[in-house]
Amino acid sequence: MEKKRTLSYLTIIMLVLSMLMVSSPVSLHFIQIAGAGHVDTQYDNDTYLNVTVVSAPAVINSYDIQVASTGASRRNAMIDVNTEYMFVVNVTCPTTWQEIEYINITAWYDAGSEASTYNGTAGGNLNMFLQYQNTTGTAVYNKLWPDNEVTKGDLVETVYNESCHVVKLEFTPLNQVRSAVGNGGWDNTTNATNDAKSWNFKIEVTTSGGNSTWVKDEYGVYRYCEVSSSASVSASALPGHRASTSPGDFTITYKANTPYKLTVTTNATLNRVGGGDSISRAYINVSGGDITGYDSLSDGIAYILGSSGSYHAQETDDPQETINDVAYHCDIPYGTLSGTYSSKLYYTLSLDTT
Amino acid sequence: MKNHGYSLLLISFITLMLFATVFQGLGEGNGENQVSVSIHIPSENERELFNSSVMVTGLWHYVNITFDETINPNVVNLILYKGENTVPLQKNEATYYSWEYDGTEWKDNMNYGGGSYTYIDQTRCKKTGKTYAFCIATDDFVANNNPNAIEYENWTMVVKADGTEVFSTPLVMEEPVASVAVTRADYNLRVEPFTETVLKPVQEFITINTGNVPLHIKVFYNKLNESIVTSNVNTIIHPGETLNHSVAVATKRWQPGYVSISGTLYADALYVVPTGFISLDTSYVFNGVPRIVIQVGHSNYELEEIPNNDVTFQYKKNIEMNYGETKNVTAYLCGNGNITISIANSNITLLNVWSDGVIVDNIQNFTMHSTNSSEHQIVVQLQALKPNATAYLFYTLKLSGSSHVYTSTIRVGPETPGKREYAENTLAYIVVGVAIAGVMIYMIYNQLRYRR
Repeated sequence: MEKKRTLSYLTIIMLVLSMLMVSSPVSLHFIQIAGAGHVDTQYDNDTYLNVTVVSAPAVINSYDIQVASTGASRRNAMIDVNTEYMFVVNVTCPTTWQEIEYINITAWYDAGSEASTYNGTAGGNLNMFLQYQNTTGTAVYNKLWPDNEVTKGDLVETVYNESCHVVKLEFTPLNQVRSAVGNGGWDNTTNATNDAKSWNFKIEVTTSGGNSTWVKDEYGVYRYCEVSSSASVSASALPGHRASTSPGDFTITYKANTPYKLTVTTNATLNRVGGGDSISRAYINVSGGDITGYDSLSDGIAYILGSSGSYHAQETDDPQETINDVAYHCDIPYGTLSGTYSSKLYYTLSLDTT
Repeated sequence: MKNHGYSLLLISFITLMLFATVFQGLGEGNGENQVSVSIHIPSENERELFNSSVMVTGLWHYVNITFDETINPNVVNLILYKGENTVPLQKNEATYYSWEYDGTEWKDNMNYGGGSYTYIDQTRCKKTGKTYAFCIATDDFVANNNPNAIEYENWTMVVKADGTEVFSTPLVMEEPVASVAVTRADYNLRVEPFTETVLKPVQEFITINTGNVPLHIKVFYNKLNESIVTSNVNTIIHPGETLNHSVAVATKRWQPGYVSISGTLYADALYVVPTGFISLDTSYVFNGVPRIVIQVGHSNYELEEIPNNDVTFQYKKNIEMNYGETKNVTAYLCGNGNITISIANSNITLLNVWSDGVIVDNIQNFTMHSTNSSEHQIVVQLQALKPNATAYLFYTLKLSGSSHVYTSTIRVGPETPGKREYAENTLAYIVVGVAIAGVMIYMIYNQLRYRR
């Protein structure tokens, strides 16, 4: 009987203790203490303690691509050619800013593949390499690539403290920097390249300790096109002869940042000023550009650049292109009245929108 | 001797005054105050380059000559020649022009075009009071050697009144460059299915006249031309001018899918003088400018147009869920046809599936009778019971003998520590409470039993 009572009291005590343990924030730890015995003194001078101080990598606190004049973000958004933008990088280095050696910014047109890399497809209109160099004690902004397809702006550096700076590298993409209209919408996830047909960029910070830290993201580029030529062309000859403009009489200058076709045609007939007669465009031939020999306007079109089935490849280099060998030839039919026969000359620039 | 000195001073003063009077009279004779001249393309402003007036070769210009009250000529001559101050010996279309108004007729004295063409538009010439407006042009003679620049030649303009030169000024003659640039013309818009509204994107496309020839611009669309309003078109874009064009698209009750609209921008060179036997005026046509793609679908949904069928499927590509959360995920079918559907899940618990509100018994194989007049909903109820997991929901659609698989990726968040601690404490209190109750019952039982 007494044993059972004792057991009951013991159970109550244990329960109360267990409640206290459950509700108590104090944890009980079992600590094993080793007993120290007598140790004889002994020296071993051949043993060294090597301590390697490992430098930590820099931290990219934030990054962006912005309109230089307004600071509006264009990360995962479209930018324009001939407008100045800037990459903005906020970096904290491990101890002092002198540890930062380079901030390398590479950008490239992904051609629809996220497996693409910088300079995977060469070309000044397809790649860009901007560099913040801090190896000499004075920061320098280098535009390593390309040469005349992108212009370099200013380096703007804001010092927050000894270890944290904001670096802005300004640049202006010119007329033929490859357009990239994305794949229908922009995924705004940071540090990700997941929108096809965009420009991917990578910002990599390298320290003197050899560490590198990087982020990657994307932006798009609007399509741009421009065509320029003489306001008119003219030629003269007698009926039964060929009236020709000479190659070099005029220059067609064009800028396009996507594959394109440049075709030319006229109205169906060239009408005599003042009336009374006309000449069919079937008598007009075009030479120059991509045309081998002559291309007649009898079918209503001549392909100066590209063909009916394919676009002319976008130029990978240079901010503009020129053609100065295009010429027009009109075989004036016998019996045509003298006068001036006029028509519009339609240059059609078709951009690849796929 | 002193008087002689005064006399000399007086003579010198009078001589100086005479010189001043004579030279002032010569200046007026050259037309500095008697004649004013302005030169401009119709509807354009007068331009200057190097402090000289500019004329664009090959284009019609108005040359307005105004005499003051001291000159009342019977015959007025307007002469242009290449170079400065010296009339070229060889007179041709590249070196010399002369026009005349004799009180009754406006004439091209050189008559280079014979009967074919002319460099004066008599219908636009006009005398108003003391102002004589010549509408004249020259041949496009300036050679184009540098494609990066508008080239020019230095010429001289002379005005004669009754055969006497009363005005001359240097003139810059430019080559005519018709040039236009277009940018920002790619639009990606979205509208909810079966919704009539007007889409007004903030983005505006831009045209720039980068040459020195006025251009008339207009836009046509390959479809919905009447439903799209484009600003600043059917107008003249002046040399150097930039125009911003807003676009507004009135949508109809469209079923889900993509509506692609291709615009065509025309830019026609204006005021071109027809010359030669054949004369071709430049006009530019930009296909695909602007280009508008409208996604008719739900916001943040992937829209798939199933190939070779008039059927669309919309689903969430990425889904976020909390650990322990139950969520209904909706997908939409539209288009005519009977579509067999199979739904599978991975790494997540699938509780129920509804097809147009009716619970589905066999999610591996059920059929939806889809139409194109409305959307049909597939609702999948999911429960996330694995923390920090990436799960998948697979939709397999079978129609016309082909299968199409679409995958939603679901990211399940971590366990919430606070909740777990709370749950663990609650469990412990329940266990202890039950134990206490058991002991109390046991003690009462002992008291009652053994005291008795």
